[in-house]
Amino acid sequence: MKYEVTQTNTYQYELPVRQSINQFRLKPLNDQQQTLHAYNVLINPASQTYGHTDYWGNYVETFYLWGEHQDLSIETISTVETKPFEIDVSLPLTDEQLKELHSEAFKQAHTEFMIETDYTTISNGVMEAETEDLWRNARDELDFAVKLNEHIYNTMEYVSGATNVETTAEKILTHRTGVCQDYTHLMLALCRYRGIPARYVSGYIYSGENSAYRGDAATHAWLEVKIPGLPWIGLDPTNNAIAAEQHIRIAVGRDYRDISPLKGVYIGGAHTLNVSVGVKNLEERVSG
Amino acid sequence: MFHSYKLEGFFDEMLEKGQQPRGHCKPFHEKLTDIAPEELQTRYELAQSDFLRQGITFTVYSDNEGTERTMPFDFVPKIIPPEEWQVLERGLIQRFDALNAFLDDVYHEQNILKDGIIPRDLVVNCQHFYEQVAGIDLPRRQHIFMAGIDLIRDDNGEYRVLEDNLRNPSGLSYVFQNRYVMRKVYPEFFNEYSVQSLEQQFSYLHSAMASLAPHSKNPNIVLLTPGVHNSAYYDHSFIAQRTGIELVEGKDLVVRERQVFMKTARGLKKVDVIYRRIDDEFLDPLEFREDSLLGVPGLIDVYRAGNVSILNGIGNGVADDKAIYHFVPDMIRYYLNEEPLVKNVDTYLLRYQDQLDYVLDHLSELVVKHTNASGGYNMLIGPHASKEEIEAYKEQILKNPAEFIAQPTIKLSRLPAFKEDRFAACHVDLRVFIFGGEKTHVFPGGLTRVALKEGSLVVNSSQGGGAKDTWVLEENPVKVQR
Repeated sequence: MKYEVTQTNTYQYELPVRQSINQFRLKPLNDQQQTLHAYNVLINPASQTYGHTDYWGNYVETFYLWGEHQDLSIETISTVETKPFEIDVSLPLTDEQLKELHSEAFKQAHTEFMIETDYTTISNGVMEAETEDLWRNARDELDFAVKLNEHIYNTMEYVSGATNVETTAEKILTHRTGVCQDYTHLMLALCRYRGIPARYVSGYIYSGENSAYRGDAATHAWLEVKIPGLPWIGLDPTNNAIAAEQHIRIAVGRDYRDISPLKGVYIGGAHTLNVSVGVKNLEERVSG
Repeated sequence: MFHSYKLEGFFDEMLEKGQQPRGHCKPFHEKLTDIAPEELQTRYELAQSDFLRQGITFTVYSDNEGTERTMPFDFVPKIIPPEEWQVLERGLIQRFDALNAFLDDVYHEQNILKDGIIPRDLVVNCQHFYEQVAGIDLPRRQHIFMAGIDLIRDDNGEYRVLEDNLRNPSGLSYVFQNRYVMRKVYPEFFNEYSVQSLEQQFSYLHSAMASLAPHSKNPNIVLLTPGVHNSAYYDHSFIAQRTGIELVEGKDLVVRERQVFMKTARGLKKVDVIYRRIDDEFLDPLEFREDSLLGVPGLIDVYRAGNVSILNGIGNGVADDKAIYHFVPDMIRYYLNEEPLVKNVDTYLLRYQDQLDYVLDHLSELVVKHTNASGGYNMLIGPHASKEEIEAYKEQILKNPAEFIAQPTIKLSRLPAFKEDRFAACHVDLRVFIFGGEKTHVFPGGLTRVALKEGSLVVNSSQGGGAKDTWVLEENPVKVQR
């Protein structure tokens, strides 16, 4: 599916600010799962960006605004083509896949995505209790991940404003409320606890007109798990879905900290940030 | 003065069996026994007050309160004969070069991890591994500008590396001050010796920094300090002054369009090299700790653009980590295809079940350290610990065994230390400073630290350690007048 995604981020400052340095990760990934056809950035006040690719393969752009300004907007327009998901997750893993999954070499290769981070720390006892039944009844790790995706969807309540970007997985599990970022951190913790490499994904979701998908108003978050012999499989616990053509990926990392979409340092007072996202399906005919 | 001095089965660097001075120590020992005890006491006090007068202090942290102290100075030097030094020098250059190659590798291709020489998780999940600087090419591929490698000697007198300090090793200023006070207060001790001079070292230091600049033409070099409240501030101001570079704090620097500038009375002046004494995580609130007020916003982006050199490199802590230490001999073999000339102390990694089992059974014989602690804090010295202390530490270990390493208790070598009416044998170690640049260079001498509390093995200045002058003798033979 081919989309045009527009994201507009507008900062408004109480008083004029200066010497602002900003960094953003907003360029969609261009890899086996999706093709990036076009990407443009508009910054106002006009500014040159300096880009680099980070350790996780994400594109990071930095820009500087030395003089005084009271508004700042960063607008990105991307044309992305996603591919359909063609793996049957109901098929059991083969003996070879399982053997590799449990091997030291596999664990070493994906070790970054198997550790606890500040965001995903939950005490072992709590994680054991939370996943005990699912684990016992799961056919294998992939089956467990798919069922956990559903379990989190069913036992969590989607409430915006109850958490913030600093909320950790332990807190989320206590309150069982949150937004996509929280669903994702919680599931990352539980997958890793059961020895499944899992990484955070930030991106967009195309919900269309008739979709019940949450996360259409702004950026979305989900996760990907790694099973030997398969590409990273996207799981979206906020929607109890397997990420497919409607999921557009921007960045991956161990947790939110690695994919942080926008950050900046400046001299001056308080600000407000407004983010709006529009995803247009370029293949769908406009009716009427 | 030496009547109660006992060797007790330790390697004594000055006296051999039968209390006879070793060959290279004879002239010194003779002078020492010639001077009256009262005179030694007078001079001792003179030396201590000299340190205080010059304001050479460091800060000891306990209960979150800092106390400033001078480091006690003991005037019996560590004397290193030339042939002993040559071996050390070669071994340290080898080690330094391998550590540097390791850093360049783990922040680029990670070949040593792919080849399975070092477990990948130990490196990439290390809290000192900064993936933000992966892929950045440094001038001369030099990640280490200054290393402070701590050496000890075992009961056979063999030197071993105890620790590689590749982040912000401090203590260089003490080396100079110890020598200065030694020459001033005890000039006659030098009469029979030709000791390698330290005078050339500052100009060397400056040219080493300049050689690591992003470009060659007259680089502007600054020393970035966290400020006067830092425990090693004396070190910072001393080095800046002697090398003739500007001493700045984070607030004196500003980044604009991928360049870093120093604020001066005449406007902004471009900075090319920053010898920083601020820890990695505080360097740039944009990319590291957001709450850091010590750093410079945007600095990492300038570094990434290759427009400034930051010395020592960012992320060096992954190479001097206490668990990675175990693998340094393997690095030497892997990168240089050489056998290590200076050995490690045997180290058990408690992440491995068999080593953990062994260590838990032998806690009373071993030294156990937390991989994230430094300065002699949070360690268990088995032979000196009570049953309760061992049990409490065991609990700590079991919570997360992977965070601990253990080493046999080394019978650290000793040297005489002055105790008013007598000399006592006290344990010592040696921090040697090694510099990267056009060519790896070992500073002739170093900081000999001494555990002044008799019997103690902890030489850290924060825990009752003192310092001694360190003499590296010139190759021409020592003149002995008889």
